Amino acid sequence: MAEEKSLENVKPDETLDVLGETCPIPEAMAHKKLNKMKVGQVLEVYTDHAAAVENSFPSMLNKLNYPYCVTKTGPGEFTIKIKKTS
Amino acid sequence: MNPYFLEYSIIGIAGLIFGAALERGRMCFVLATNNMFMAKDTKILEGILLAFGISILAFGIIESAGIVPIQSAVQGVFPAGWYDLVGSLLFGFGIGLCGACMSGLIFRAGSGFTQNWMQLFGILVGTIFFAFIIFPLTNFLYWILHTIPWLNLKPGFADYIPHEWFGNAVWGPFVVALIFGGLFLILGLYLTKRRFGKISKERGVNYKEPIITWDMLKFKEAYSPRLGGILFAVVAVIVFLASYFTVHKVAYMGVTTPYGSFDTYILAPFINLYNTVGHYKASFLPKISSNWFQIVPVAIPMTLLVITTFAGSTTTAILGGEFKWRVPKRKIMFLQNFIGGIFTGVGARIALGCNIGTLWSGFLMFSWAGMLFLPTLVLGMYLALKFQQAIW
Repeated sequence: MAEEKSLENVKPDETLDVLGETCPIPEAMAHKKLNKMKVGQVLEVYTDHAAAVENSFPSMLNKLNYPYCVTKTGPGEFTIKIKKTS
Repeated sequence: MNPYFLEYSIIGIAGLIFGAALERGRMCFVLATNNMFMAKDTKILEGILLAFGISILAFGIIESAGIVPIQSAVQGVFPAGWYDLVGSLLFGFGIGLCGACMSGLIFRAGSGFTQNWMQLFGILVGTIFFAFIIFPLTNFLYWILHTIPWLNLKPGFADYIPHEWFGNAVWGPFVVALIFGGLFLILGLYLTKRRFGKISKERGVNYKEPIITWDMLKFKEAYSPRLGGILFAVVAVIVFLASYFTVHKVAYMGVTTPYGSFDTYILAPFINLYNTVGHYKASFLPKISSNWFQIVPVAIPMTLLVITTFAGSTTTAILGGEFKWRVPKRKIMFLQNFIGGIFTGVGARIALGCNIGTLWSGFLMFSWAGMLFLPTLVLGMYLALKFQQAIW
């Protein structure tokens, strides 16, 4: 599932701060957290690992078929909002 | 021109290109395999396969065409044996714990990830641990394993696959390169085609990714992994030719061995490891001064390659607006990276190199070392991924 801009203004139900950490931690922890969340809830992930934002997250979320939205919040810093849909 | 100056200049510039390719192309073996295991995504892997395929084919042509004579090329051939299997398992687990192989480590540390600086420190500690504890023990292990012939391939010419398969035939390297390089290249191109096909189907459009764009050249966006892979291969060819046509003659490309030698610089005022410790005595690295305040020479061209690769990665991270000192919120990550660094250092010493020095150079030198290194490297990274998924 492609990126969805409509998630930009949605208030997250859960947050995950993995700033300063590299792969596979950001995507592995996000995956674990999503597993525990209810369908329809939104997870917000803070990361500064560009390689994960460009590669690992999109591939994992496309496989899970979860809509997501990436916002650049600073130099090399990103926020990813993910909606659990199934 | 002074041949030393020429060799160091060319290799220094090659390092800058290498650093740019790593940082911009996100060329990390751990990233590639994690994406494969976690989401069956092959984007980064395609770039690495392309790098291997193109460079192996180029080396085969260079050797078979006599640009670098086989007799000279064979001097750089890595010995292969049980230690590749054991070392790469530990190395793979270590880099998996840190989330960065030796190439990934350089670009991440160069982009400001402090946890990877801890990995760098762990590698130095691991190198010393190996030298003082494991090296004497491995002499014992050598003795045991020499009695098991199938685990101990003979070093030197015997491990040069073209010689083993085709004797002294001048076309030998090219045929071997065609087999191994062709395999990597075809697999890389196939995975790219398959990925594009899958995305096209999902989006209902004919999806393609450009190899190079103006925005990539202007550092506005990351390189496509395929561009990173092509630059990877170009650097290997430059280093190979520069080594042969200038001073050192032996073409070898490594990262961990020259980096691990930094511990000898740090400890120089206290102990001259090169004269006192067996592992360093056996090393091909030149002896350095025990006086810190004298000018310490860059030991081998590869040490300079490591330094300029680092500089290249940092430069492109700054130009791309991605350099930032990054401190993990969970301080336990420093401990994980330190332990992972020790595994990385010890594993690389046992296997006589890392994913660059033994795996890639192994294939480029047509040695069995690369082939033996690969399966347990992947196994080690897989185990580290599963371990982290279980504990975090």
